[in-house]
Amino acid sequence: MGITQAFRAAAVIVATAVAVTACGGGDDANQVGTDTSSSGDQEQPSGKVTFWSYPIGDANTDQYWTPVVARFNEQYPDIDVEVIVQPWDGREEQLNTSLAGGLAPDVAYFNPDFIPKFVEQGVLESVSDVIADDVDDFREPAVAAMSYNDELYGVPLLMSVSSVICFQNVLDEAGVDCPTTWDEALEIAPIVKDAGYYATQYSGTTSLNHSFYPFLLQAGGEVLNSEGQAAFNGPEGVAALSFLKEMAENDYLPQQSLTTQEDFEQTPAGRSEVAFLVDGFVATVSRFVDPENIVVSPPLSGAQPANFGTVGGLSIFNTSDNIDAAKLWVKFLTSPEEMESFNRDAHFSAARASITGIFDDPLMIEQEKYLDTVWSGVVHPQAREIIDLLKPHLQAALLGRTSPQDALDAAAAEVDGMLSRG
Amino acid sequence: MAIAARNRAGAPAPVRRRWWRSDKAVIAYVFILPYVILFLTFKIAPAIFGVGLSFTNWRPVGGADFIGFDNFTRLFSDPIFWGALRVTLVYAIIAIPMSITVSLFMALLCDRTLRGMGIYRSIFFLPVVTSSVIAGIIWVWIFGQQGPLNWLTGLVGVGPLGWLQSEILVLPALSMVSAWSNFGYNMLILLAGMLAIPRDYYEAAELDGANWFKRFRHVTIPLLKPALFFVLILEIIKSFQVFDTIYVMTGGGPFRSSYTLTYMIYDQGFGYFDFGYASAVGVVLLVITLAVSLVQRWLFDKEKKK
Repeated sequence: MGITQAFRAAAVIVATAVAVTACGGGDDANQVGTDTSSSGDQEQPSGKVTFWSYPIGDANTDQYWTPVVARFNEQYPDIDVEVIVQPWDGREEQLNTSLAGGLAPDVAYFNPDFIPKFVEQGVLESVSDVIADDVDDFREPAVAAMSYNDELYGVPLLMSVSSVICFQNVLDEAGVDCPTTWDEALEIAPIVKDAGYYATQYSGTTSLNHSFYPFLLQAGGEVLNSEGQAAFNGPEGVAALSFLKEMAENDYLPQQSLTTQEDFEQTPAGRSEVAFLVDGFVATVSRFVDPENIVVSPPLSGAQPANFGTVGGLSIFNTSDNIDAAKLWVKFLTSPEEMESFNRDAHFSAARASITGIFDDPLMIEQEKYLDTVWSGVVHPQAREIIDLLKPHLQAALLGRTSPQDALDAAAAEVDGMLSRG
Repeated sequence: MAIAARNRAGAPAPVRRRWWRSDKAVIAYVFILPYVILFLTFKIAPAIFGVGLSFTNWRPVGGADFIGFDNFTRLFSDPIFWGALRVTLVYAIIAIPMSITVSLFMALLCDRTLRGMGIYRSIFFLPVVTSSVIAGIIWVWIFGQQGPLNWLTGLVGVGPLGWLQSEILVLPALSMVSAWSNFGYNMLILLAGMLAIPRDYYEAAELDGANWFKRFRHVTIPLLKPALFFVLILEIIKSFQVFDTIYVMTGGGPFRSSYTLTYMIYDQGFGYFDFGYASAVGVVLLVITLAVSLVQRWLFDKEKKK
C-alpha cells in the first residue's frame, strides 16, 4: 500500500513538530525577572519582583511566604512579589545560568562566598543605602561578611555561630574539663585517649572555613595578606597545622575523618565519642546527640579566640528592571519584625543585634553569645580555589607525609600562582 | 571473473532507488526523526559546543573571547592536570580488569540451570540500580577503620587498613566499589553471550577430554569475545568518567590521590565556572577515550581476521 508524497511530507512535518515541541519547555508565563513594565512614580514603585529563596528551616513553603508577601503588599500594593523556593543543589550553577540566559531573579538569598564572585562579574547592586538608616543595629561581622571593596552587596538576614562544644559523658569518664585554649586541649588529649575516646575530631575533606581556617585565625594568622597573596604559610599557619598534626599523630583525633567524607552521625562525635568539637553548631550536634550531654563553651583560643559562623543575606542583581521595588522588598524582609519572624521559623539567629530571645533552647542562647566574633570565610572571588589548592597539602601534613612548613609552602606557591593568573 | 565482466558490460546498471521513494524508508525515518533531533540537540551539539568552548575563556556572565590554544597550554603546564591524568589512568588500569573479572565470574556462576536462578540474577543486578551516592556512603562505612572489611582482614591478622586514608589503597578501594556497582550490568551482557554459545561445542570438547578450564579457555572465551569487547569499551568509558563515588567518598583525597580528570572538570566548570578550561580538560579526556577505544577496536578486528 502506497502513501502519497503529501502524506510523506505531512508525516515528516508532524514528526519534526513533535520533536521541537518536546524540546520547547517554557512559555512567557514562566519567565521571571524580565518585567519591563513601568516602575511607576518614585514614591510608589510598582512592577514585579522575583525573589529566589531556598529551603531555610521551615521558611521554605508557599504557606510561609504567602502571608509575608501579603504583609508587604499592605504597604506596597503595586509591587507584585513572586517568591520561588529553589533547591540548594546546584545553587551557584542556577544563578549563573539564569544570569547568562537573562532570567536572573531580582533578589536572591546569598551567602558571603557568593558576594565577591558576583561583584567581580559586575552583576550585583550595592545595597548600602537599604540599611543606611539603621546600619548600627546589624552585627558587624554580618555586615563585613556581605561587603566587598567597602560596599555592602547583601543585607544580612540571618547568622549562625559555632564554638567549642563538649560532650559531658566523655569529660566525666576522663575526669577533665572542657578546654578553652590549645594548651588545655593538648593537656586533656592523652587523658581522654586513655579513657578510650578521642579528644576531638577534624574533617580533612570539608571546607576549610570550618576546619583549618579557624585554627589559623586562633593562631593569629590570616589566609591572604593585604597584597592579596598567600599568608597562611607564616609562623601562625605552621603553629596551627603543627597543633593539628600533633593531635593526629597521637591518635587524639580519628584518622578516618582526615580523608573521608562522613555525615556527622557517622563520625565519633555523632556517637558522643569525642571530648570536644572546636567548631560545633548546637543546631547540628543536638540533632544527633542528647542535648543533656552537650556543653557549650567559648571559642577555642590559640593566640586569640576565633570561631566560624555563617551569614545569609539578600542581594539584588543589577540586571533587575525594578531595582527600587527590589530594595523595598529587601528592606521589608530585613526589618526588625520580619527578620525576627523569619529567623524564628528558619531556626537561625538574627543579623540584628536588637533581636534577641528568639530561642528557648539554653544551648542556643549560650552559643549566641559568640555571634559578634563570627568569621565567615575569605572574602575573595577565588576563595574556593584557594581552599581546594590548600586542602590536599594539609592532608599530606596531617597524615605525616610532609612537614607543616613544607606543606604550607607548597600550597602557598600553588595559590600564588593561581592568584597571579587571575 | 568472465561472468562478472559480462554482467557489468551487458546488464543495465541497477537503478538506485532514492530513499524518499520507499514507503518503508520514509516511515522508518519519520519514527527515528524525533530521536535524531533530540540526540543532535542534547548530545552532539553540546559536545561540539564544548570543544568550541575549550578555545575560549567563556564564563556564564561576561561573554567569551577566542583565546586559541591558551587553555591547552595552561593545561599542559598544570601539575594538577598531570596528577589527575595519572590517577585516571591508574584507576582505569586497576578498575577495568577487576570489574571485568568479577562480571565474568558472576556470569559463569549464573550460567547454569538452578532453581531460583532468576532471583539470584535479579539480586546481582541490584547494585546497578542503587544510587551511587547511597552506595558511596555505605562503602565509606565498609572501608572504615572499624568497618566490616577491616574486621575481615583482622581475622587473618592484617590491619586495620586505612583503605581511604592511604594513597596506595584508595584507588583499589574505589575500584572495588566500581566493580560492585557495574558487575550486574556487565554480567547480563556476558551471560547473554554465554547463553548464545551452542551447547554442542561444550559437549564436543568434553568428549575430547577437555576439562572445565579448557572448555572455558578454548570455547567460552573465544566465542564470548564480541560481548567481552563491548563490556571492555563500556568499562573504559566508565573508568575514565568516574566521579560520583569519588566525590562522595574521598573528595579526591587523600592529597589528590583519587583526583581524576572528571573531578577536575567538575571543579573547574561548576566550582570555579571556568568553562573554557574545564572544556579543555574534557577535550583531552575525549581524545584519550576515543584513542583507547579505537585501538581496542583495531586489535579486536585484527584478532577476528586471524
